[in-house]
Amino acid sequence: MRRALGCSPLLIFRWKETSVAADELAFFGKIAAGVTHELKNVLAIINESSGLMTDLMAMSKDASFPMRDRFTRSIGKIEQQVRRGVEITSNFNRFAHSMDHPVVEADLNAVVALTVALSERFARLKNIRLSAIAEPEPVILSTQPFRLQMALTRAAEAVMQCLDGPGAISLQVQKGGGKPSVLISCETESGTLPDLPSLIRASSHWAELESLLDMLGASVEVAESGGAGSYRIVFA
Amino acid sequence: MALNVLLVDDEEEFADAFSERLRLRGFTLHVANSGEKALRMIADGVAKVVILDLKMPGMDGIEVLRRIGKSHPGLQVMILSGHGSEKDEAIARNLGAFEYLRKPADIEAVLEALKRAENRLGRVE
Repeated sequence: MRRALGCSPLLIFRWKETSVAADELAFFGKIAAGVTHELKNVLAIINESSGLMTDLMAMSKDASFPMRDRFTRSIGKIEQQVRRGVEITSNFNRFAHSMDHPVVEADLNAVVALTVALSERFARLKNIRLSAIAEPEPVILSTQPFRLQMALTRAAEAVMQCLDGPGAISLQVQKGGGKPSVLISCETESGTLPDLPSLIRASSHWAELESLLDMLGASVEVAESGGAGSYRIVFA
Repeated sequence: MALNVLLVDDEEEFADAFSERLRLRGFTLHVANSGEKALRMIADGVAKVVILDLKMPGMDGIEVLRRIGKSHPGLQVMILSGHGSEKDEAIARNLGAFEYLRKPADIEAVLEALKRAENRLGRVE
């Protein structure tokens, strides 16, 4: 990289431009992380207030209270939504912190799980079930976490574009054969998608995915035969 | 005899509801809304167990924990924070916190931690 910077004013300009973008991302991440922390405080107050109502109801269980069941059900819904809110804010908090440092050591299992958690909603809107499958052991990579999440999201979105109805997409972390990889597989109601290789290259996300993977030192392998319904991102 | 617990948290509405829930379960609760006030109350000997938030205006929880470690090493401190990263947790545990819970915490987890604090105090005393 240093050698390239030394010989190309254009690359120096682009490097500076990228550095500013990294600073801006870190700033965005800092603000977003701060907001999620505050939201957790709000959720904690709601949680303790509804918990206190539950406690008081339990203490007066022998007293007459005609609305007791409805009241209890409502408290139950509040608690359920607090748990949901905590999960959403925790995921968003982790995502925000992924912008703290341009390059970190990260467990690919955790990155894939977080990416899937954050993208599930987009898939659900298309009646697609998105899931993450982890390797039993941590798969540690030196990587750009923000960019990696973006690439994995694009990889899943590229498949979503190929499905014209309900289906399921899984992102499976693998480490067989040495190099870590993520196998992206899809199933439709009628089975696998045999023409995935050609469809996926036509996706509007394909060029961006290849560019992101190039920056991550990764590549994409699409099996032309025998691997129908899946493709693989391989990390160097 | 009821266990004396000091809750250190600048979120007053959280502190009100949380401390009332623990009082209902038989604990004696004292509340400090800042790190500075907490250290004064600790110096007065109000509690043997401290539930400590990390991010507070003025003196933060890590600094409070550091000072407690020097002046009252026998106190049992548990962190209860919505702000904690894994790095914060490692620092807090290294400074002597015996438990690290994230807000909002399940009341059963808090009670379990308080029981452990009581057991640890029994061993220390």
